[in-house]
Amino acid sequence: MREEWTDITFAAFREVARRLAGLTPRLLAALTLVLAGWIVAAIVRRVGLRLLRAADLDGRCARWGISAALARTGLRTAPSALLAGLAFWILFWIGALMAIEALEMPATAGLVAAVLRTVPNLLVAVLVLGIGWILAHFLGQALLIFAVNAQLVGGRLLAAGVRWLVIVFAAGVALTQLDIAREMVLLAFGIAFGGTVLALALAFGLGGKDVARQAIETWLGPRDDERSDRLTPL
Amino acid sequence: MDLASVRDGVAVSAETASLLDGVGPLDALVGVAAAGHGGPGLPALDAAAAALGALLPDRPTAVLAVDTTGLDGTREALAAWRDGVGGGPARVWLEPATALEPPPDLLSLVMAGRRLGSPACALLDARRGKLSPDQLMALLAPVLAGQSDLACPVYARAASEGTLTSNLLVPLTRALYGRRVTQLAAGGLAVSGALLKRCLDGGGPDPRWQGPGLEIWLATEALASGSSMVEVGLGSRPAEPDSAPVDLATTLVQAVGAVLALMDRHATMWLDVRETASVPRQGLSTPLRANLVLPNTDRMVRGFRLGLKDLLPVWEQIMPEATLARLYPLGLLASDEFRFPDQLWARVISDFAVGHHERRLPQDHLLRALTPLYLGRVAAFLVQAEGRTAEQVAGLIESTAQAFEAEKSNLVARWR
Repeated sequence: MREEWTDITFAAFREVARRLAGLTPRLLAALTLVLAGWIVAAIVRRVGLRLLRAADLDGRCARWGISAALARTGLRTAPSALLAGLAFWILFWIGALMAIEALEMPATAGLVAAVLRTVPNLLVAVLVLGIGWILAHFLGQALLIFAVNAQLVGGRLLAAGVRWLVIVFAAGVALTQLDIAREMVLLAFGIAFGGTVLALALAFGLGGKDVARQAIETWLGPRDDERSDRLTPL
Repeated sequence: MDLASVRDGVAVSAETASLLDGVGPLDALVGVAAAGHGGPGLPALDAAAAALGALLPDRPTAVLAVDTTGLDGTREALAAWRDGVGGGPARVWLEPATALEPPPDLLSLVMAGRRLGSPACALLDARRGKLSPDQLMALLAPVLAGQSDLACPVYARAASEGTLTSNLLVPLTRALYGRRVTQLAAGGLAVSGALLKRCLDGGGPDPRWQGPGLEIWLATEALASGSSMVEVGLGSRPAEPDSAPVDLATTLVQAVGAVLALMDRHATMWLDVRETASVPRQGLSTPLRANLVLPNTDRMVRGFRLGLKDLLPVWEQIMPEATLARLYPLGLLASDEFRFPDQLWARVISDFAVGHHERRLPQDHLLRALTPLYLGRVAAFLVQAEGRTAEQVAGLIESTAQAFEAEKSNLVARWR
C-alpha cells in the first residue's frame, strides 16, 4: 500500500516535471517572440515616425483635408503618429501570433493560418472604410456649403443624406470584401440604397417641392426681386 | 518659356507661334482678355490699338488678345480682327492649337508679355468693362515713362460698388503690406517688363488664381518687393458688359484665395510691417458717390442667418468659440438695423487667414464658407451707408481699414 502510494506520487511528480520541462522551452520561446515583436515594433514606430515627419506627412494631410476629416471623426492624433502606431500594433500582433504558434497548444492550432488568411481582406476593408469615411465628409461638407451659398433651406439634411449614402456604400463594399454574408449584404445594400434614393426622390419631389423649385430657380438665374440686390463685389 | 505653350496646358496654334516670333522688340503692348462672341471684347481691342497708336505713333507696339470663354462666334470674330487691314500696333490673337484646349486667360497674356520682353504692358479684362483710349493712355503712361513699375486704376464708384474691395481686399492688403491702396483687382493694370519678369521668376501664380486673382498676384508681388507703384484716377468705372455674372463664392475663391495664399508666400515680409504709407496718385479725381438707391439687403441678411444656422460645423473648424460667440447675436438683428462691427469683421478675416495658413479645411471649402459672412458684412455696410453723404461713407471705409490694422498684431501673434 505504502509502495503503491509512493509510486503513484512520484509518477505524477515525474509526469508533471516532464511536461513542464517540455513546455518551458516553448514558453520561453513564446515570451522571447513577444518581447522581440515588441522591440521591433517599437523601433519601427520610432524610425517610421521620424521618416514620416521628415516627409511632412502631417502638413500634406492638412493640405489635402485628411487631418480635418480625421479630426471630425474624433481622431485628434497626428497622421504620422497614427500610421506609426498602426505599424507598431501590426508588428506586435505578428509577434504575438508567432508566440501563440510556438506554444503548440491544441486549442490554437490553425489560428495563425486563419488569421493570416483574413489579414489582406481585412486591410482592404479597413482601407475602403477609411477612404469612404473621408470622402463622405468631404462631399457632405461641399454640398452643405453649396446649399447655404445658394440659400437653399435644408442643406444640412441634404449633406447628411449624401454623407450617409457614401458611408453605407463603403460599408457594403467592405463587408463584401470580408466575404461576410455576401448575398445578404448585397441584397440588404440594394434594398437600402434603392430605398434611400426613392425616399429622397419622393421627399424632394413631394415634401420638398418648395426646395426643388427654389433650387431650380437658383440654377436658372436670379429672380426679378433678386436682381435689385445683385452685388458688384470687385 | 516655350512659345508653343504660352500657358501650361494651353498650346497655341502654329500660326500664333509664328506671329509671336515675328513680333520684334516692342516698346509697349496691351493684352486684352476678350469674352463671348467678341461682343465686349472687340471694342476693347480697338480702344487698345487706338491708345497705343496715340501714345507711341511710330514705335513698335502690339495688341494681344485671348478668348476666355471659347464660345461660338468669338474665334471667328478674333480671327477677323487679327487679319484686319490697317497700320498701327501688331495684332496677335493667342489662338489655342485646337478647339479642345481649355480657354486661355490673363495668365497667357502675362506669359506672352514676358516672352515678348516689352518694357511696358497693360493687361485688361474686357469681361469687367471696356476702357476708353484716353483711360488706357493714362494708365499706361507712368509705366511707359519709367516712373512706376505698377499702375493701378482707380474709379469713381458708388458705395454699393466694389464691396469686396472696400470691405476686405483693400483693408487686408493695406494692413499686411503697409501701403494705403484704394482699389485692387479693378479689371486691369499696367506693369513694367521688369516687374513682370520678377513676378514670373518668383514662384509664379497658382493655377487657381483666375481673373481677379491674377491682378491681385501682380499687385501683391509689387507691394511685397517694394516696387514703385502709382494709382491712376480714371474717372467713372467703365460699364460692365452684359455678360453672365460670376458666382459670388467663385469670386471669393479667386480674389480672397489669392490674397490668403500670397500671405503664405510673403509672410517674412508682412509680419514685420508696422506702419502704412500712402500710394502716389495721379489722373482724374475719383470721389466716392453716395448711392441714391441702395441694393436690397434682405436677401444678404437671410444668407448670413442661413450660414449661422447651417454652416456652424464648418465655421467651428475655422473660427474659435470666442469669435463665434460674437457672431451669434447678429443673427437676431432685423435686416434694417443689421450690424457687423468692423472689429468683429477684421477678426473673422484674421481667423480665416490663420485657418487657410494652417490648412484646417480644403482651401476651396474654407473660401466658399466665407460667403454668408461676407453677405452679412456687406448688408451691414450698406445699411450703415444708407442716407449718408459720400464723405461719411468714405469714413466708414476708412474705419474698416483701421480695424484691420488694429487686428494685425493679433494676426501676427497667431501666425507665428
